[in-house]
Order: sequence, then structure tokens, then C-alpha cells
Amino acid sequence: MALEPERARAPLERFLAAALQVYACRITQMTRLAGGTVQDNWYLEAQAGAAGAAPRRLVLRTGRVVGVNDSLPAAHEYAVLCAAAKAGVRVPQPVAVCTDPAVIGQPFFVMNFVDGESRPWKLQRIPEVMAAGDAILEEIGAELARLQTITPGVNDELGFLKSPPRDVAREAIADMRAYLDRHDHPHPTTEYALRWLERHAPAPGPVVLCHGDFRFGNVTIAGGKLTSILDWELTRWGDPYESLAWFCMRFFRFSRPDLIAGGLGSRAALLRGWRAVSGRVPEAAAIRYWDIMANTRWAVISLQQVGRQVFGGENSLELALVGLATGEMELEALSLIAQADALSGLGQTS
Amino acid sequence: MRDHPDTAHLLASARRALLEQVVPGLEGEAQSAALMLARVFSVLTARLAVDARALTAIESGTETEELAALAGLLGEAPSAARLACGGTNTAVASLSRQLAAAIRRGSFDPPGPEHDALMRFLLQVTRAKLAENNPKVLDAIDRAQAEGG
Repeated sequence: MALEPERARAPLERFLAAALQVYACRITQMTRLAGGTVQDNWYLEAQAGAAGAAPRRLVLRTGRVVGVNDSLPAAHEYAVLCAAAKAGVRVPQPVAVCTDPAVIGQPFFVMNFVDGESRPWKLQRIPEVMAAGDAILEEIGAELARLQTITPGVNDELGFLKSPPRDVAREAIADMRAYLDRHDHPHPTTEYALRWLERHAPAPGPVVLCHGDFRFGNVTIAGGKLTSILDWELTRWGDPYESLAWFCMRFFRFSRPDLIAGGLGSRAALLRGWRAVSGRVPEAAAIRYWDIMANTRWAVISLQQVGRQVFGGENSLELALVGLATGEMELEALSLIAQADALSGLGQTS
Repeated sequence: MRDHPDTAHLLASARRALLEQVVPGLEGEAQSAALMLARVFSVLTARLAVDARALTAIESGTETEELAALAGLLGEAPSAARLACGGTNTAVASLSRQLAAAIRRGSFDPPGPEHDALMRFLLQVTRAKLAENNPKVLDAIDRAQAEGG
């Protein structure tokens, strides 16, 4: 369901006037922003209140497709955004949420527009960004640690999230196996990775708020600095190492696979920033484990995305092509498993 | 028998026309969609070559490499599996399913020659999948490994 700007304009102006507590609001610009296979983002400029006031620059976010697994509805994503902002995480300032589908045809929320570029292939061509890669990664690591101060029980307003897993790793493995059992094709390589993950699963640790898609592409950068972390629709409870690994996945390094952390710089920089705020010393074995988990999970998600296209009636070439990437994550998982096994083999003989 | 051009040639010509004559005139989402189409043509070309090899094997009465390898891992005779399943493709699907279940049960856990043989098979099929779907990534991985030693 795509938003129809001309039909939405007048009711949206009335909604914004009430939300911004002004007498009247006039939308002077409404442009669809690029990106997002699940959500639709619109850039708005609104003249709110007095005619002489500077226009408000806003982003409206709404669902682009219906029925995506594990994707939070607008009101819940908005609550997560508010919780992250409260915890001091650099996010676009939340403005208002609308759960009434009658206003523009579907629920949505509005946040302040944040300056910056998020598209990886653009950022990787900006010398200023690449020169500051490690410094930006330290900022990203620090923001992640701030997000992870949100733990179950601390924020009652996040009660809508699926209840926190007692054992993040084993529950993730069980979920992925359950999905594979429903799939019409067998996947021996993914099964092998899952078996390895099961045999090496760590003892259950602390559970923290997890962005769910913490990677290059979901951060905005301007002037060589991190300006915000975007796209909170996949937020869930998880392990602190999950996002550190997700950010470093080969698939999300785009045109710079040599730069482990997001195709932007070194993992050491990301960990330095994380450690500075969390006070935790990163454990190498945990990082190896969650790297393999991340690739396996993304391999299974890619199967689910194609499933939406093949069986779910969503006729999108983009979704179909995600399925062509499964082999990349599977090969990476095999290679990381071989490295981890070689290391533990050395450990036993020395 | 078909006349020229053959299917691979048609696909290659269509892809070239798309990239050289259509893509430069497009912008934004339309250009992204055209580039995705070009990618689909590459994948189809690679899959066509793989399918042609498999067809040759089947016609000449030999087993495809994948079926032979799967049967070997599971200790079965490939020709018996093909006959029992009524064809090569269904036999590959059925044996892959059995293999996946055996891996989950722990039957291939290391150490042991079964595990090492499984690892070689998984590497081979996963690389083959990537060679069809994204040969650029496979090249990049191999180059990085060669450089990293």
C-alpha cells in the first residue's frame, strides 16, 4: 500500500497542526525518500504556525508492504524510537505517531529530519567519510553500548516486544530450524552451520535491546560524523554481541569487503567505541560465535524474503534477488567455521 | 533442431542492449530496476550452462556430480536412488533432505572422515550456487583468500 501524497496532504496537515500544537500547518514539500523494502519514508517540509517561522523538516514513516515477519507496526517502532532517544542514542527526534488508519490510509509516525547520507554506495565514494571511517565506527560502537543500557524490565513501555529469550542463541537456532522445516527446499549448508552453532552455543548471558538490523546503510553520516541510527522496525531483545557481529557481516561491507566493519573501517574501532561506553572487554570467542550466527541468520532471512516473493504474492524483483545472496552468507559461515575450528584445534594441542 | 541464435546468445545480446542502450538513459528507481534485469540475464545464462551439463549427463546415462556426491555421503548407490525416486532431480532433492536431517542429528559431527567429506561437499555446492548467482562475489572471496594467504 503506497501513500498517495495528494490525497494525504490535507488530513496530514490537520494531524500535524494538532501534534505540533499550532493553529495551522501547511505542507510545502512532500517527497518520497529512496530505500526501504519494508517501510516507506517521506520527506516533508511544513510551515507550522506563524507564517514567518522557519519550515519544519520532518520525515513521515509508514509501512510499504503488509505482513512482513517480525516487523513492528508504526506505533511500536515509534515507542522504540522514543526509548532509544531517552537512553541517549543518536536517533531522529520523534515527533508524533498516528495509529488511526483513516488519516492517510495507514498508521504512520513522524520524526525530525536528520541531515546526512545513509546509502552505503554513496558514502563509500566520499573521501571525507572514508578518511574518518574509524572515528565514525567508534561513535557507532558507543551508540550501540548506549542502546544496550535498555534491558528487559527497565522499560515497561516496550512490553509489546516478543518476551526476552532466556537463551538467545539456542532459541534463535530453534526458530531457524522451524523455518527450514516449513521450507520446500532442504539446505544442508545452513543445517551444518546451525549444528555448529548448537554445539558451540554459549551459556545464556545478559539480554539487551537489539536494533535487529544494525548495519552500514541504517546510519546517517554528515560531515564525516555519525548523525543518527535509523530503521527500528526489527527491534527485539537479544545478545549484546549480536549487533557487533551484524555490523561486520561480509554482505554489508558493500564495495569494500576488505574493511570488516561495514566496509567503513576496522572492527577494532567499533569495539573501542563500544568498550568505552559499556566498560566491557570484548571477548574474541564470543565475536567469532556471533559472526557465524549473523551470517546464518541472514542466510535464513534471505530465504524468508524470497518466500514473500514466491509464495506471498509480493511481486518485487528486489525481493527475488535477495534470494541470490543466500550462497554468499552460507559460504562465509563455512569459512568462519573452518577458521574457528582451526583455532580451537590449535588451542587443544598447545 | 533450433536455428541460431541459441538461448545463451539471445540472453547475452539482450543484456548488452540493456546495459549499453537502455540503462544510460534512465535515472533513479527505473535505472535500478534495469540494472536488476541485467543481473537476472547473467544469472539465467549461468544457470542455463549448468542445466545443459546436467542434461548431457542424464542423457548419456551417467549421474550428475551432485547426485553422485550426495549418494556417496549417505552410503547409497546413486543409480538406485535415481530409480527409487523416479528421476535425477527428485533424487537430489530427496537425498539433500536426508543429508540435512543427518547433519541436524549430529551424524556428521567432527572429528572424522565423514565430517571432512561433508565439508568438502558443502563447500563445493555452495560455491556452485554462488558461481551461478553471484560470480563477482565468489571471485572477490577467492582473491581475498589468495591475498590473505
